[in-house]
Amino acid sequence: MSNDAKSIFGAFKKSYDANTSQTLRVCDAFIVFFLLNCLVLFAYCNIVGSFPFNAYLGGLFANLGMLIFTVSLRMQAAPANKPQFRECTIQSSFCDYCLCSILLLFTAVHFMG
Amino acid sequence: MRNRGKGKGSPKEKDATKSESGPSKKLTLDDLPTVEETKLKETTAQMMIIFLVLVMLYVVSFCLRLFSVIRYESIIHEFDPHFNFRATKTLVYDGVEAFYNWFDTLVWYPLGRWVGHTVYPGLMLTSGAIYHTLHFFHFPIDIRNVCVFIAPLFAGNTALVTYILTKDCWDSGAGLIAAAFVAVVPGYISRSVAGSYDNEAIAIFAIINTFMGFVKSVKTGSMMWACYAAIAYCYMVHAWGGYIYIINLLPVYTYGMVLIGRYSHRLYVAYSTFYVLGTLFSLLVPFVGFAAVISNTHMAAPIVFALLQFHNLMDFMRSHFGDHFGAFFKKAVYFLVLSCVGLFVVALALGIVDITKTGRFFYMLNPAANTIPIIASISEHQATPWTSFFFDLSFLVLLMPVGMFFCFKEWTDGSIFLLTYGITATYFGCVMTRLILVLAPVTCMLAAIGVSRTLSLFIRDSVRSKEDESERGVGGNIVSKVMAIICTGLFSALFLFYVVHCTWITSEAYSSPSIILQANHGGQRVIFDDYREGYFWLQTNTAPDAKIMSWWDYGYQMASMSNRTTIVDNNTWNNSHIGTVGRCLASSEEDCYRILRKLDVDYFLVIFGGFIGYSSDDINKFLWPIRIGGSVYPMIKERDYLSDQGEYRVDSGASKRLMNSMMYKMCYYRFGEVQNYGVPPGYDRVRNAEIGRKDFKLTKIQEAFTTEHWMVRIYKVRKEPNRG
Repeated sequence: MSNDAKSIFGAFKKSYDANTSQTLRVCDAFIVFFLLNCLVLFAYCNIVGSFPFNAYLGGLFANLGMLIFTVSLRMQAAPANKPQFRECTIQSSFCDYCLCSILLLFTAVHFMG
Repeated sequence: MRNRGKGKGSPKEKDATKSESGPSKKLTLDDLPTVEETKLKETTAQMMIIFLVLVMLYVVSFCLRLFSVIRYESIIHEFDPHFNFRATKTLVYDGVEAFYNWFDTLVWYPLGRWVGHTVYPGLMLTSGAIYHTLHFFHFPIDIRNVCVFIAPLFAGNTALVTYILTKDCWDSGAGLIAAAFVAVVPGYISRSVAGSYDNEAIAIFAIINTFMGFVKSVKTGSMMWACYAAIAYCYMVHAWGGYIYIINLLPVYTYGMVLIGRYSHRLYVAYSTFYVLGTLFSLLVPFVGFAAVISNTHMAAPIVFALLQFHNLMDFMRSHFGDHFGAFFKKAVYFLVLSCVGLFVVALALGIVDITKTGRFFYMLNPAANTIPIIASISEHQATPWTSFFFDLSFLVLLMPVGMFFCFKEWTDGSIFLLTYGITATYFGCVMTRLILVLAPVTCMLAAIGVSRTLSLFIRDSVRSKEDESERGVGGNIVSKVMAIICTGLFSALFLFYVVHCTWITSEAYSSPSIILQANHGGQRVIFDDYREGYFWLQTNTAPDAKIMSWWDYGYQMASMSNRTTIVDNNTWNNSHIGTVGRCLASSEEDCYRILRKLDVDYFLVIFGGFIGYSSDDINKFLWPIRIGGSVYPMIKERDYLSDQGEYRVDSGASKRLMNSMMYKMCYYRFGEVQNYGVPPGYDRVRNAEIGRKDFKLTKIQEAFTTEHWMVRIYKVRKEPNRG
């Protein structure tokens, strides 16, 4: 069982190292960071309590939103996905990313109270 | 196109008919144009035409809704719009802060109502914005006129976004036809005439706007359009409670696409971005509050969001794992299912998740379980009769399945969306009469697709026949020119009929303000302005802090026009309070007087239509106060108010309880003395019967005012006599 798991993740690591460019690795690092933030917030809320709920929602959605946007940016940037995103250039993707992030963080700060 | 079609089928044909390519040439399916080829590609000249048509649609949709303003005057219609108007006045004169924190002490005496947090502010904010913009440019338009005309204004906007949405799902020809249909469709006009200042006036525009942004986002995969869809969704949540439909339809569509194998990264980007931003924005509306993330009616969206993340993660892993993916996938699924079930059980135990099944939302999913009397009593919430489908949608009802067929034939992201929207909207349109409003735009879109696709066969052929004649010889078309002209003519006649139908229905059925009535009496037009007469009597002849009791239908109108405190109104948020008023109407004078003194009531108002034959009066509605009162106070039983045979009668066969009740006494006080032409004294024109009990005195209340046609009757509650 553990052999299986080890071999599975070994194969994954090999394929990942071989196929992922530097830009995508930066995105992946961000994704992992936001994901960890979300989990920490969730655990904190369950342990310590959810008051004030709007602040919790603000923090959670800010992290969740940035996670989603970075994943979307990575999708649009990966050259393997180009046939699916015919009208998106890398510049327009990044512009959209900035626009969505600004809106999201502005609203999330509003929720902090 | 024609060459390719010929190439495929021609080896057989060429051998059989070598010399002639005339009428005897057999046509195969390959010769039919494919769906993609029938779609329009736009040139500059076509863009000019599109622009002109859209401008004309703005004008047409605005002007068609003006019947009641021309016939009567520019007033606010019906019941709910009066409350919206009052709230808009507060917003405009007192400011946004005061509006969001407004606690209204003039309604629901003695409870009051926190309006800022129990209202959808979109309509008021929109009107306020338009009002302030106009005043900034020194156009001093009164707030009442802004409110009356905002609905026709937004009808043009709806036509525009319908054009854009249908263009994305099909082509711009279908888009124009859809915009033309939706500009005049009676199902939409019914709630958006000039004067109907209700949430639906802007909400239909907001729904199609959101869908337009979402479909554009799914088509292009760009985050900017998903962001636009989220902002449009924010506007929709501010505008109407029907936003629940959007937040449930989009997850259904998204996961449906995944299930039929059309998952793509564009879909992921569109839905995930929309979900995160949209939910965050919907939390901004105080009325929705935290329900957007906790309530069980909103749960479809996060569940599909989580499933979409999982799907994307599996895709990502598959691209890196190759052969080992199968084993990994099994383990991942076990882990996910166990953790989900565990989380759900924990949430249930902690009381975070609520799985009760009552309320308006679940009534719509299961109309048979109609147990709450207040929801059941509203006439708009009854099941839709089949005639109102033709009444409200004309022949679009027949063309909608045609459009659905063509959408099935060619599956693109956009056409599947229209199908999902159409099918769910049809279901809801069958559940409640009011929801034909939601069905109308999508019927227009699907019907337009059907019409466009069908017409393109005829029109294209008659245009192309000139070029093809030189290639193929005479008669090589699918459809002959004569047929094309006849069919195009038939369609034109059908469109003309549609417009005539819509105009007639708007004029006859949907343009009445409900607060002014008119009738034809021997060729002369008689206007019944009794409602306003009664309300303005209250405003000018009662103390400023007088409390007026009536049935909840008239609460908003009373508060807006007579500016007095009311006991219950159309918001119907407190069932026991309404039940108390129902009990008051149904009990005898002594029992009612005790309740009236407890609630500090000064005046009591009833609507009576027996003098002129107005059938929406309180005696006709009386069974509902009895039922609602009976649901709160069990001593009131409906059976007591029916005659021995179980009928609801007001003549000599009426039940004793009914004839002793406050409602009967207030409506028929001194009505026995009224002698109309050709009927016995005290003849009720609505029930078509002579009333059973004519000569009775009122001891605890006294008649204060009766309007000209006896429609509004106001009674003053007598104070207790001084002791000693």
